[in-house]
Amino acid sequence: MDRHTSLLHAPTPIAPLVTFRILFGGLMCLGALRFMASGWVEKLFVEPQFFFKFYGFHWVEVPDSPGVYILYSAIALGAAGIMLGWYYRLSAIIFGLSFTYAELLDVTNYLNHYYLVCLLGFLLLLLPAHRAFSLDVRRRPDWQVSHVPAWTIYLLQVQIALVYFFAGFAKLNADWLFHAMPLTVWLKEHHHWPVLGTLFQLPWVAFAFSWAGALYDLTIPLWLSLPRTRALAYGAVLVFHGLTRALFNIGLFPLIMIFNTLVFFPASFHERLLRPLGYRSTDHFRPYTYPRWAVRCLGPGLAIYLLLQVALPFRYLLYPGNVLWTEQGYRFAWRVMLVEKTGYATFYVEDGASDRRTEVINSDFLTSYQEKQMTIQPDLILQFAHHLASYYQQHHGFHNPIVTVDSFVALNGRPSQRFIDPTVNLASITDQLGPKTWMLPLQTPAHRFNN
Amino acid sequence: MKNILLFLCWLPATLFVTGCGSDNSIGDPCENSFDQAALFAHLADEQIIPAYTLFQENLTTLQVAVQAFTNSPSTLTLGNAQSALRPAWLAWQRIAQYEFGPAEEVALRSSLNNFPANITAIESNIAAGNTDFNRPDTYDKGFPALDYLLFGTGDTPAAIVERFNAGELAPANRQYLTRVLDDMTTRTSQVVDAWQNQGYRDAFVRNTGTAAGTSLSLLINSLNEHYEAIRRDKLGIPSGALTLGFTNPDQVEARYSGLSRELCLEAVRAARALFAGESSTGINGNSLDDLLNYIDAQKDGQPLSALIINQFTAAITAIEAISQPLHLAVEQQKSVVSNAYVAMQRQVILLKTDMPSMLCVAITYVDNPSDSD
Repeated sequence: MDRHTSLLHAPTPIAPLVTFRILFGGLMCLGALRFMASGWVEKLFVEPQFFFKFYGFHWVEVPDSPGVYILYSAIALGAAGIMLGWYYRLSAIIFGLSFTYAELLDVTNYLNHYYLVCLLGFLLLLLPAHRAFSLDVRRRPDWQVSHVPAWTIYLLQVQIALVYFFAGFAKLNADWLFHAMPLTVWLKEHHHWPVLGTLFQLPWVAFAFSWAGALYDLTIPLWLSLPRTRALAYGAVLVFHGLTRALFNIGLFPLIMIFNTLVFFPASFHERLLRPLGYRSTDHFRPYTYPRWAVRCLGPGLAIYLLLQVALPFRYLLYPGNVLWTEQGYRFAWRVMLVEKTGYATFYVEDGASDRRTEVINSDFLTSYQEKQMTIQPDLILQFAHHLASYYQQHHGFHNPIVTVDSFVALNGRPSQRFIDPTVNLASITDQLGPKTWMLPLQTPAHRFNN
Repeated sequence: MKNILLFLCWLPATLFVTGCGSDNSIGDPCENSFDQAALFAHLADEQIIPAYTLFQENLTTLQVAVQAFTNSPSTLTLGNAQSALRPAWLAWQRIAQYEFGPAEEVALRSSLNNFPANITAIESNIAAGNTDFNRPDTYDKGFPALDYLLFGTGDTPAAIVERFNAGELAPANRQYLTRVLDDMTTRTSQVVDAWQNQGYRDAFVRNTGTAAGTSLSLLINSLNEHYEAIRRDKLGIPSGALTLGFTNPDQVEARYSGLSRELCLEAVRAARALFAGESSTGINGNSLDDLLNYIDAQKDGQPLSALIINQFTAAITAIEAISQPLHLAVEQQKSVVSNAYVAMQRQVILLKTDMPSMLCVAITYVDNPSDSD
């Protein structure tokens, strides 16, 4: 059968999937425990009275405090199950669902690497990563396999390559390349570092970091794929993510990438890596074969998935204006570390039936972190406006409340500009995926600097 | 082999290309050789420390006058204590905006000027002999408590004196008054001592840069936070702008002594003096305005520093137009108060978004609760 001889279905040793499963599961389990231990459940889900929702996910409810702890415990348990390969599919389902649900609770907590974790959790569910060196195999020795179809490894590699490529692609903008913004601002934060701290004050260093960062992201999957450059490229991965870890408060992301990129290494490498843990590759050739029905579903399903992964980051092209300003098509597109934004938004609520009118104290409704995020993201401004409308309707008997906002945003070192049309009644606007015509365009396309 | 070479080349090549590009027209928006240390030294020596010492002197005068009153309550000693309150409270407005470092450590602002006073809490404290003022979220201490005790506990001076002279609770009233002042002077001494003798002045001057925690960031953030607080607490809430137009005359600062308008005006003047580097002795030294001018910060074709100064002037003029204490003005001069409130808001945009953005200082009232990316 030429399907079996084809590149995608060629049997390849399972070891890379085993490493991936163990590192991913282990890291996610620690991540969930760290989240609970740091008191973030209280800060992010108990303190706020209002939560921002993703488009189409307004039905998501935030559980009470014990509920959130249960949710994060489920994440930790599911992740541990993935790591150990213990009731693997069930663990992966529990992990995927609980993690995704936790991320849907409040948009202001959105992070690209959490989105990546959701995707990888979903992909792992489909892969037979538990069919060797796992508790499942100990339980059911007949499940042991030696090889998996090559596409299972390629799938993870492509996913990671897409993340890097689009992260690099997003850096190809004037602010990043020609003004080294926002890195210029952020590097200077570390002026007290020995030696490097002094370098960070030099303008060309920020440029060097910006360009090197863009080139790294755009090309690193290629260097990781080529056998001759792989070791050096992995060295670059360690340096790059080690540096970003030290420079920025980005949590688990560097470790996720340092672990994930190992999937580019050949099986022999993984077998050596796992050997100290007791991993032994068998001499029996026992390939894993997906059931026929699964192959029939997975082929087109994954093709559509990958197409979507390519399409989503490009959707910003459908919207007018600078994506850094409008943030339309910004999320789910691997746009990381691109903006330094400060916003200020004053909301007014007016009774449609009388002359009663009030200005709103945002902090009465939002935590300071939520407020900071809300002032720079138009869809969150709209959600907050709707919340105000219903609040004043319920608590103050307003009829058809009119909500307007006086909002200003400063982007990447520019002077501030008006962000939202102040005459628009936001309560009468429904959020939709089309362009937000009630936003005002960025007037200074590139930087207007001091010289 | 080709691949390795290619790989080895890309990084140095990038560095080279960008290194060459850096000295042409492409500028670093944050790059400047402005002497920040000199700026901080001017602010510390000509503004911050003199403002603290002036406040401390006025507070001591107030304490002496209040002591004389508690020692022998009479309309004469009450009158002296009452008149000593005004200069101390005005001097306070000059330092309220420096809530970082030593002041933040002793929670100076919430300890000295949480208003409006919670009269129920004060009365029950007095009855229970409770003089613990360590909780930052109570409204039973500092200037507002003095305002109530010295001005609000009777309709006439004689009635107030009576409260401290006769009756079961007279000693408790006298003790409470003393303790309120003790708490204020203790905290103030700690802050003044830290600036003058414990080396905070030098640490402040040395702490250059634009990162969170540097002196520039502390100044800009605390100026902003305080300016928003002035606008919200002194004008916004009393005027009803934030409460559906229902006025709250009882929520003004200095409700009983009627000093609210003066105090508000002084607070905005203090913010301008900080921004412009105007010392009380008339020296106009380096401050945020000069820093903005140095980097040629422009907005809509005008220097940002001029826009900010103009907006300060507009806010001050608008507050000056209010001709009576705020608890009366919010009822009788609604549009005048509302104008002042709007004038102050325009400034918030300039101070909070434009200035930090162009000076490359992040607004960091709070740290991110979790990770970012």
